[in-house]
Amino acid sequence: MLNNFITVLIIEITRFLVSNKNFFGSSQKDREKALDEVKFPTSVKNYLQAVSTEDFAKDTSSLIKYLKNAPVKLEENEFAKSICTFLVYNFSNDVYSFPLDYFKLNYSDQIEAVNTVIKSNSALASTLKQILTDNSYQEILNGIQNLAERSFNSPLVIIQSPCEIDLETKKEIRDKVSDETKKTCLPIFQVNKNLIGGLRIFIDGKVADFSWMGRINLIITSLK
Amino acid sequence: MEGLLKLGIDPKAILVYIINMGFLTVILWYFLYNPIIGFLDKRQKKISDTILEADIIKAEFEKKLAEMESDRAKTQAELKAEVEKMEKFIEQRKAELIAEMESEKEKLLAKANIDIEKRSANLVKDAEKQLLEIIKKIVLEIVYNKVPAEVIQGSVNDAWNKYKK
Repeated sequence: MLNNFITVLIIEITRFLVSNKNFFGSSQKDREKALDEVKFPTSVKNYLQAVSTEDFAKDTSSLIKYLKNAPVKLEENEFAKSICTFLVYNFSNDVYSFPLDYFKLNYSDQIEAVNTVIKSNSALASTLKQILTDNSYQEILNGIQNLAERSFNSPLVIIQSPCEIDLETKKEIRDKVSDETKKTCLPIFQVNKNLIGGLRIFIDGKVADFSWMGRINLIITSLK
Repeated sequence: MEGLLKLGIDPKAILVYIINMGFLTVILWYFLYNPIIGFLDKRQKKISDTILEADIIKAEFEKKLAEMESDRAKTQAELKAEVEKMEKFIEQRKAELIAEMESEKEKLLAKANIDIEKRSANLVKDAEKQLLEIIKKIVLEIVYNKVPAEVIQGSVNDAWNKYKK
């Protein structure tokens, strides 16, 4: 699912490097200036500003193998990490901003909704729009979570609530969990009406149950 | 003699009569009396033999009877002893069986009591479990669909704040 986006990003970066042949030989400031003219994700720009030619070649080669489903390790791949950072801290905001009903809309309604969030028509933006229209909420977040796991060894984080959580709280939860685990985490938010109220938080197999259902079960158990 | 003749008594006739009677007597004695006597003797002997034999038989019979009586008494005594022995054995066996049955009865009663206690405990447990299920259903029935949306939203925020701490 993310392969299209990563492929297009590599192609765009390659085009950029072809038209900026001395990019890796330039200073940090010149690199920054050159990158201001292109619409790459900020984390990718930061990576390109700091990376050497050899490391870039190694990272790109490893990423291409990943795209071909080869069993490569991405923990040392800063390029993969920069892409993952963009997806977790930027693209996921777009995903979180859509209500769950969005994913039940027909294709044309989804296109309309996506165009209001991602206004750009660049090749990269088109791949992101395609991700949002061709996949379910769970599939998108699972895809990003897989990449985060390969790149940052991120734990699986699931947040269950009885109703939809607003975007700001989702961002807050994401940032807090990432701080806590000291890894780039992408929480998967699920609506579970059985909780009745409160929250249930799963981090890497451990659960913190603040739900009303959990409290009712606790009371019932204590009565036994 | 003439006087006898006047009476009608003929001495010759009487003599002849006497001689005839004598002959008759001799003949009768020889041909009748002796055989009869012999026969009677024989018969008497026979009868007395028979009586003797009968006495012997009677004696033997009485002896045998006495023997039989003594045997019978002996057998009866033995039988009586056997019967008494059997009765004692039966009584003893009866007592043993009764004791065994009593002990089995006690065991069964004890087992039944344990079973009853276990089942009562299980029934109480089941009743408690069902009661808790009912309580849970009632609570869920109250909170499901009856709590305003803003309260639920507030609970999410409260839970998150609690987690942050």
